[in-house]
Amino acid sequence: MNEDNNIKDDLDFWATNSEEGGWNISSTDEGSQKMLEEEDEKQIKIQTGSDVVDDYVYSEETTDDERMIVNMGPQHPSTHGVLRLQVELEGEVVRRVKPVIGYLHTGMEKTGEELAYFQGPTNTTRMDYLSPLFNELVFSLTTEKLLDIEVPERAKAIRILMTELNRISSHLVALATGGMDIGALSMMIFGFRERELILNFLEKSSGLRMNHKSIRPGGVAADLPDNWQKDIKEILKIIPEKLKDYGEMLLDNPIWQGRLKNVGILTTEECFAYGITGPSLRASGFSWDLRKTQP
Amino acid sequence: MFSPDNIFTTTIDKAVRWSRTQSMWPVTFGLACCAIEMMAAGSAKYDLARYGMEVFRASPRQADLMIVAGRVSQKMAPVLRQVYDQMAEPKWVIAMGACSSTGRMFNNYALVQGVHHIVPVDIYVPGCPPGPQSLMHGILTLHDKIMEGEINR
Amino acid sequence: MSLDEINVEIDQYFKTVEDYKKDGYEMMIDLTAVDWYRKKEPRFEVIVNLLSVSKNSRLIMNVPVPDEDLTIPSICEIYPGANFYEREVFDMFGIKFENHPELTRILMPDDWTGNPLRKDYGSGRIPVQFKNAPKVD
Repeated sequence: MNEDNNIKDDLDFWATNSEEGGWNISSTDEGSQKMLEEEDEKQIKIQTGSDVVDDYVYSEETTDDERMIVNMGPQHPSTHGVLRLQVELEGEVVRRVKPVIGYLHTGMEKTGEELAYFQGPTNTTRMDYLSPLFNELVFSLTTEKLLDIEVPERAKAIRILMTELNRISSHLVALATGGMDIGALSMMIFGFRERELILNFLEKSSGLRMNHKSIRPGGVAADLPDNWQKDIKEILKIIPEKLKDYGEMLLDNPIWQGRLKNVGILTTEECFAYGITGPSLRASGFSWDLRKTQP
Repeated sequence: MFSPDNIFTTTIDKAVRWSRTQSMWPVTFGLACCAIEMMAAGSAKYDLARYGMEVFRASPRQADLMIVAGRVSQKMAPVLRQVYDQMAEPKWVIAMGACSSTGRMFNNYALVQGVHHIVPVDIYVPGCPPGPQSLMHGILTLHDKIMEGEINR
Repeated sequence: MSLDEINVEIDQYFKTVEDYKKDGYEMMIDLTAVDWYRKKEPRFEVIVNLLSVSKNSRLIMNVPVPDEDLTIPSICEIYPGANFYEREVFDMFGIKFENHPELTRILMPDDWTGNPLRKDYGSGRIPVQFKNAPKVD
């Protein structure tokens, strides 16, 4: 039933957030006060002109007189990056969203056609700039599979070490920016401070803080630096304590819960229909981890 | 407004210039990887707040400085120009990173090869990505240039 | 965990995808296209990646697209997530999809001519003269 809804809605190419009754009920009790705050911010942004209002026409065909179509332009502080959303609001509830993407299209695939296999990671590493080592890993694994290259054991272990550190730093950025947008401004400072530790280590071993090209087809660019065990032990000691701090600050926070609980729920069937994998799929209750199922 | 050659307003000139440099507010134009470095420059270890610019204003009408961080694609170029036009005088532009200064290795159809084709740029900060130290060096150079009177707005 | 690869003709494409969906392949991971320029006939080929979480196996389908009219049925009704992927293939290669709800350019600006990822579309390099290098034309 859920999937039927999705298919019907998608044929109109609007993605609705939710039509279940339970969510509408919650829009009139205490939790909705926080949604009002968000609405206020948007109006201020329109008045101050930071929404780049393009030629998107206010359509008159909606029947409710409270519906308003707002263009959250490609540049605004809550999307770190560029994403243009054409949002139809009814009071404080988002009814429909139409995203427009393509503002960061770089032609990487086209440039990649002209590069040698060894120069490939320089290109692919900038595709997802929060976790560059993973992109390099993917590229190296495919070239090794196609060319039947054997990678030494130590290189594999080094690769896994560095990519797992990268995963931690990427999730830290997600927490930091998410926290800042919701309102916990100090979350950003904490998140980036922890990230500095990891980036320091990566800089020691590869030379650059981000977008390093250290995972190449055939292994790793250079060995780990001399005292790497000491550095990693320090990192592994500091970060779990800080994570406890974040938990204290955020999990029991009424603002956090009021703004994020029951907002924009993705069920498992929806994840399957749209092809969403990774942490979002795990968050919807289905246990699927690529590291466990396909080692 | 203040002509630099006027001998009667030299001290006032200096005071105005000094006050302009001490609290410039940047507008966020972080597009890609350099945006993360810009945010890291504003956070705890390399602090931008000591130069008066911790507050990244969302609206271009309240900002002085536009830091173009990241690659500008062809689709994004009119938006960039619009935001630049919405800023009030005096305004300065820093092109951060190699992707916005020139097109870098993305020498192809989809990127604007250098943001100076669209907006007038004062300072280029090279690097991929430029570390927070490089960005701060760039900002301080801008401050120095304004104090000397080389850039007149 | 297994990885299969099959070739499907364009007439049975839609039906085959439906069968696989009923069979247990719940997710569609990727939909892209390849341009075999002068290496293989026909020129374009659409590739679909399916994933089955219950059976822990992947499936890759290659569908060659005939040269005369570059159209292929769209699988948006079966997998709604294919929407953006098909728009990207239309933008980059020029392959049209029938029954697609909204087939517009997604990555390039709306008034762009040409299909960038085809092999006969140059990459648009602007020759850069480095300072101390010997002069080249």
